[in-house]
Amino acid sequence: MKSNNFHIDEDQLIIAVVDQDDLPVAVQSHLSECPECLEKKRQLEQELETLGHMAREFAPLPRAKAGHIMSRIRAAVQGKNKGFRSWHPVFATCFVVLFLIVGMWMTSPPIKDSSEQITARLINEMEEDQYFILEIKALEENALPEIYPYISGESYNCYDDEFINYVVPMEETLNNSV
Amino acid sequence: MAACANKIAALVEKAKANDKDSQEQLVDIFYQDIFRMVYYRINSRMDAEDLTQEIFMQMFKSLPGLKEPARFRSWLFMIALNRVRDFYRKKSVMAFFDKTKQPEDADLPDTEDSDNPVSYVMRKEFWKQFHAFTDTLPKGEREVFTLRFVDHLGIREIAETLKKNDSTVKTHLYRALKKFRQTPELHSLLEGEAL
Repeated sequence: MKSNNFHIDEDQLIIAVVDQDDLPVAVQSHLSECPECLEKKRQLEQELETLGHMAREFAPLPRAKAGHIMSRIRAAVQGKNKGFRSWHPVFATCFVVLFLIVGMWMTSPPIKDSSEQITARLINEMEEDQYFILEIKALEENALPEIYPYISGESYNCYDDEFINYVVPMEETLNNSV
Repeated sequence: MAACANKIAALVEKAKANDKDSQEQLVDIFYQDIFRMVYYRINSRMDAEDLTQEIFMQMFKSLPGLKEPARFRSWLFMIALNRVRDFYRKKSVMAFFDKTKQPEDADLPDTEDSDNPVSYVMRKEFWKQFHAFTDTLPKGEREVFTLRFVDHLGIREIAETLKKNDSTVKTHLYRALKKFRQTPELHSLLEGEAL
């Protein structure tokens, strides 16, 4: 590529702006010698510089100064590092929620059982009742504690109705035998 | 340039050791750059101020984990870009629930020369043309173009910021520049300004 005969094309111009070292050596040497190509490159670079300059110029400035930001950051960091104190509201909320749950649980009516559970409970209650009735009947038979029949000589089990009727016959029995 | 980079690296080292002066100096140096960088992308002064504060808070939080202080600038821009992405994510979620259009303050006169009508019109026209052009670019090309020519980052810094290799960055830049050359409106605006 002779410097006076050829000039860099559009693609080479863009590569030159991106990174001149990526151009072939011959093109690089042409670019360093050719004022026309150098001017093209300079114009594109200038345009891009203007773009950056305008963006900078037309962007607003932050209202707060860097020093203010620094103090705000410090305050925020300190606020975050307050440790347990910063957790107070969280703990208080958890406590209130827990209190409400326990309160509701204590005051709520018992949960209804299923039919199987009800049947089982009824059977259990009936068994307990039956046992209780047997105890009552036993007391009807002999309300005294076991020690009393022993003392009075009534602990002998053979004294059933037939024996007593033999010893002291009932009036009906006597009439029949006569 | 190298001296400046060395100075920043030294400040970063001190800031990592919780040196308050160095931390303040770092904020001083980068505050406006980061604010502008955010503003170019979200077009709202108020949101840009809030985000800038969050970015610096994140910077102080993550600073002890920075292994190479020499890469501080690209690292800071990476934080800023992530914050901007988060902002857009949140915004899209909010927009999903709230269909009423939120007024953006892009058109509000919030620069120092807002009382000058000519400047106001020029500013409005510039941003209109700028966004009209950048909106036509794919995401990668747009980001690389803006970082290179508006935020003035080098190829290496852009590669570090976007976690891409140099050749990918150059390819994006090449494509974006090719499209830039074919945008007459922005061209004429810039040529008019350059004259």
